[in-house]
Amino acid sequence: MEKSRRRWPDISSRPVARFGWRVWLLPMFLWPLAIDVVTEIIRGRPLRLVGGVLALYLAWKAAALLATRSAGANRRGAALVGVAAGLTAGLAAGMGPLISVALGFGAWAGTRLLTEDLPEEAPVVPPAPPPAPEVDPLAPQRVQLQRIADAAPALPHAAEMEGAVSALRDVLDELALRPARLPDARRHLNLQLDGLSRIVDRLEAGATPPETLPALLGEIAASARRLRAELNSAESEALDIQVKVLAERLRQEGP
Amino acid sequence: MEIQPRSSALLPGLPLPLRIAIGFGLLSLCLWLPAFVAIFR
Repeated sequence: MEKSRRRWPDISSRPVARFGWRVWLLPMFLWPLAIDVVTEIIRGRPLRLVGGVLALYLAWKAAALLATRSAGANRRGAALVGVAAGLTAGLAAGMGPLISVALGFGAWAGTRLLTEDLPEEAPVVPPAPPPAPEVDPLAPQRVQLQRIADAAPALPHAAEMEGAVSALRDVLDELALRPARLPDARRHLNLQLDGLSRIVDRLEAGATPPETLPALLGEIAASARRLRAELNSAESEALDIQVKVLAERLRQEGP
Repeated sequence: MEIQPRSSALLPGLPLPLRIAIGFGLLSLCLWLPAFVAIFR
């Protein structure tokens, strides 16, 4: 019982063929060509046979293409019929290039007139690419700082180290709010972070910290706090100027 | 997928029956003539 159930291929994703009578009409024009193919086989004229077979094939393909109603099918189908007619005239009938081209053009125009108003599927518009994920310009600095913060508790002078890390993290947070100031602050920030990273690397390798290290760590923290204050004050100055300009304009243009 | 109706660009303004008749005539001439020439030559 189970064996008798035949599995058919899934054709749901293929273009649906909707044969209208005008599309069905096209293969009806091909029967003399089919007779010609048989005639050429009997007479044994290979070039004419090739012309006839090619024309028959192209015209049949054109009808099948028109039947799919896919985007641009009407145009391409008509072109194929034109080529088929040209091949019939040129190769199978030996009518000369000029007449062949004229007949091909005529067949194209005839197919266009018959089928150009047939509805076809709208061309598939490719979906818009997804917006690029937002890249954090401070990501490398955050990674670097996190590595220092993770290593700091186990190192000598951990309190001073954590103070510097905290101050630098505040600078990163401040810069995240004002990305326009990033180019000005990046050099200073990288200098401090790179220096701190190297110190952590040496201490992790077992180096004995010099007496000046706590002072240096304090200086890094103080410098980071100054940088943050500068960023903040630059923003405040910009706002101050904006307020002054606006007040001046209001005074000049007011009633 | 959406099926869009198309208007005629070749010979605009020509009534549909006339357009089909001309198309039919052109196709007959351009496909049958060379085919019959090929058969009887």
